[in-house]
Amino acid sequence: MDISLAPEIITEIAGLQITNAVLSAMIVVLIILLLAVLLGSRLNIQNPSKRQVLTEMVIGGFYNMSRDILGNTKAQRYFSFIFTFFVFILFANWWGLLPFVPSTGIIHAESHTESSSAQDDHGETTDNKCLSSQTCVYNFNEGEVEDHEHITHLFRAPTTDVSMTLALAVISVLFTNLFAVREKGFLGFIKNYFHSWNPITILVGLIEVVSELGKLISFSFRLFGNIFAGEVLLLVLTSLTFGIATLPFLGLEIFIGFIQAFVFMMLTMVFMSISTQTQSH
Amino acid sequence: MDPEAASLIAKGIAIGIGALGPGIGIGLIGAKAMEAIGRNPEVENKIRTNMILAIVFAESIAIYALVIALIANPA
Repeated sequence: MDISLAPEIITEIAGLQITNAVLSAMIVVLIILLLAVLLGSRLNIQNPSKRQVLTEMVIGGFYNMSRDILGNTKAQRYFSFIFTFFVFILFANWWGLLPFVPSTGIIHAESHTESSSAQDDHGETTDNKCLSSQTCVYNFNEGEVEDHEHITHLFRAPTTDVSMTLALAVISVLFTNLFAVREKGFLGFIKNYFHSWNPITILVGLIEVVSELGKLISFSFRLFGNIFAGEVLLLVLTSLTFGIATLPFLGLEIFIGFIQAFVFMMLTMVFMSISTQTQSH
Repeated sequence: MDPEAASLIAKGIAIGIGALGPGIGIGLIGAKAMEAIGRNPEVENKIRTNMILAIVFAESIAIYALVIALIANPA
């Protein structure tokens, strides 16, 4: 069982490579759609069912929080966009904790010459081979996988893929700026960065633009690092101790998954409220 | 020094020193939050929400160090 930074490619459809993170993301979206259809059916104002009351409590709680931060009209416009981040990231993080996700895969034989020629620099062959095609973090084989075989994992938590978290960060930062254009007009949006036009404020404006890119890196690496480190932690613990001893760490990972989704949503909200602020102080 | 040994030392130093600052920072944030809750127990929810936000900012620095520690392999 090896943990690789890059997700493993399962198939290739019409030139696009489908990795296990992409497959898991599609499954997560299907689960969310199913949940939405189930929870949004048979709604009743006078006589709500328990499921409806619970859903309204959760979503209403988040909506009230966004109204505190964004203000009434903007919360009404942008809440669905922001809450989607939360729901998708939450389910994507929790998907990686389900029991069948780390272990389901396809075993196929690996040729000897490829793996041995990449590793023999000391003249001794080690049992832990990291395949030259991907960056391996940890590698040990256990159970049914022989040393000359290689397992391709079928599922993976989507947020352990840097491409996925980077895509989420790009969407968040891009739409924060686009909503600023929508609220304030293009000139007002430029004023976000460049208040006036003397050399000092132009420099400050350029630094502000660079710090937007810094937000990209920060968003993506925070989410990726937390969830990927959690996955590595669980895998290493499972190799060191028996299954039930990882129970408190599974609890920690559930909590961290929730917190990271919540923080992504909160930060998007806060940055959006800063950038779309229309009245002057 | 062969590359594997150097990379192991690098990983250790990266996460070791990289977790110092955020650890102290999170401790300070928690301490101030406790103080604020003690002074004004009514607004505990708001204080707790803002504290979690600030803690996550501080923790991301440690996560950057962790990512470097994870990917620093002898190429």
